[in-house]
Amino acid sequence: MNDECSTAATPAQSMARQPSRSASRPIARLLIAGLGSPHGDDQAGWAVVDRLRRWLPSGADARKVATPLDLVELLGRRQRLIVIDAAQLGEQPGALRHFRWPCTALAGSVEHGTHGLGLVEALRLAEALGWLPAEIDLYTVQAQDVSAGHGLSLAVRGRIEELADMILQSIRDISPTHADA
Amino acid sequence: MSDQTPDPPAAPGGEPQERTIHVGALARVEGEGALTIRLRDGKVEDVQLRIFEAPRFFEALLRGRRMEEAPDITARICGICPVAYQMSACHALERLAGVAVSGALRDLRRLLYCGEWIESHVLHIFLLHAPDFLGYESGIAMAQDRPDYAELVRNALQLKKAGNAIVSLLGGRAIHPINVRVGGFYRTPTRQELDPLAEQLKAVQDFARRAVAWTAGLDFPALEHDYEFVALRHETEYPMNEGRIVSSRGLDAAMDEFPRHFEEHQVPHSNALQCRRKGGGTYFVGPLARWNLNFDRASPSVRQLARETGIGWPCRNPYISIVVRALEVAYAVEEALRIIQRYKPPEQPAVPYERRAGQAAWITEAPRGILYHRYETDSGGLITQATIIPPTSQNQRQMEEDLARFAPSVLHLPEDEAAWECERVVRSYDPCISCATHFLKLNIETA
Repeated sequence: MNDECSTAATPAQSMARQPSRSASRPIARLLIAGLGSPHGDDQAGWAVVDRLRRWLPSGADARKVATPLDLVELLGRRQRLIVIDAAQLGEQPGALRHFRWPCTALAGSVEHGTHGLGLVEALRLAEALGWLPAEIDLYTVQAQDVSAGHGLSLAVRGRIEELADMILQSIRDISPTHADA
Repeated sequence: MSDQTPDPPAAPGGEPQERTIHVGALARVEGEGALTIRLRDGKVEDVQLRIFEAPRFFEALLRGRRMEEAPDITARICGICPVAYQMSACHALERLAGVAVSGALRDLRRLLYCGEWIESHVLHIFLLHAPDFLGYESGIAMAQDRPDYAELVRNALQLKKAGNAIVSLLGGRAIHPINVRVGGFYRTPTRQELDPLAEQLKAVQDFARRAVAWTAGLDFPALEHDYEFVALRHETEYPMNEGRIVSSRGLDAAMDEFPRHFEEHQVPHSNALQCRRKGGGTYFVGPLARWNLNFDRASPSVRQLARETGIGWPCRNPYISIVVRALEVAYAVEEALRIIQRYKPPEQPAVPYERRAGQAAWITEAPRGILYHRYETDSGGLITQATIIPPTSQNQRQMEEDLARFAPSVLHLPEDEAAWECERVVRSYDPCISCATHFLKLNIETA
């Protein structure tokens, strides 16, 4: 999965975001969306949003989203989007990945999402509608089990806090000093 | 998302010629399914609509659970129509407990259902079904190709968002609503909370009404059949939560008589149980059936919209379901506004009831057609038996029969076009395959 737009997500790399691009962005235009369902590790995106909500800077919007199409409806005039989703990338359960859109690795992927319209399709739809934010980050966590009635696996549960911290760190680069500038 | 098995070479000397149309993964349907049609000498030998999404154990999962848990557990069967599952479960269990919900609580449930119909139908009309008529691979391709289609999809998403807002407010959250309970709701909204919802609905009402004419202007293939349409029918209302089971061939039965007239059976090629008329006949549920059997129950303004389409009602062409979905969206927006306008918060968010041993069934009109729930409980209110029959498993056999009739007419087409045309027939039904999956019943005998 190593290509020009995908990296194994680590705190150091997340902190190395491009501050110059971020500095003038109003934080109120940031949407953080956890994509998921109540089934097993598919809850990972929601779990990260639950954790983030307690710590978000004012003005940032964190939402649990069930389908990528629901995400499109939320985009409106956002300038930046961060999506967290469980994924099947053939890695060790709990492995974290960070993608920046547009991304050739994702664009060419065949999606078998649990949410109907896939995330890549949803982003393409948003683009066709003129709703695509200027900057999009996608964080994935390798799922182990997405069966109905199951909770998060231990492998995924163990990465939720770390992933939330990574995202918080990445948006602290633009907040609070630069917020709504 | 089609893969086709190529034609066998032409057989010399007039040998019988076989051909298979195979769609490996149905696109633009909810869930995962596949389709195989086998033909010999231009005649259909076999049609198999296969449903291979992971089996669902919901009926077994419910056994031993408290009756109060049923609405939340069954809502998880489908991400598109959780309200339908909650409504059928609540009504069945209230009937079992001997109570009925009325007044503002009843209205709020109808409002919640309006929200779900709007969400589900708008998604299907503009992103899943319209590309079939306009010759695009997807709704995205449509929006990418022409600015007017992009504008159409933007408007459609605003309309769908109004449906989401209803479900979010009354359901407690946008996804997998949790505010519905046996007896009513955990919390009912204030008057002030509904006002912004009314504004949002008013803002999309004009588009909802214009969408009817837009869908009616599409080009519909000729595919008519004398179906037996089955839906609920209420004394005065367009049916959502209440009514008797009626059909276009004269069936008129109470909800709990459903098992006397319909039966489920297992077919080897699918994880979903198929439902049929007792004695083996197929039947058709969903918006087209609902409208054909109830258009006199729609509001005058929506009936007028239907007349202006120029389509003769009742209609027996399944492709025209897209127009009916648009009519039902226009109706749901109007009905939601009517309910909000007269709303006075109820004194209690739910009616009290006593747990008791018993059994009861109920049917509501999910976006895709009638959804049957039946429960048995013990004296402590624990569920001992549950049966859930979703609309897609009732339509599955009808879809296969349609394809058997339809496939010979596309034999002259190249493989990919023939497969595409067959997929179109299936998509007319808006099948929700994730709702329809059950698991094979296993009997393990030990010595």
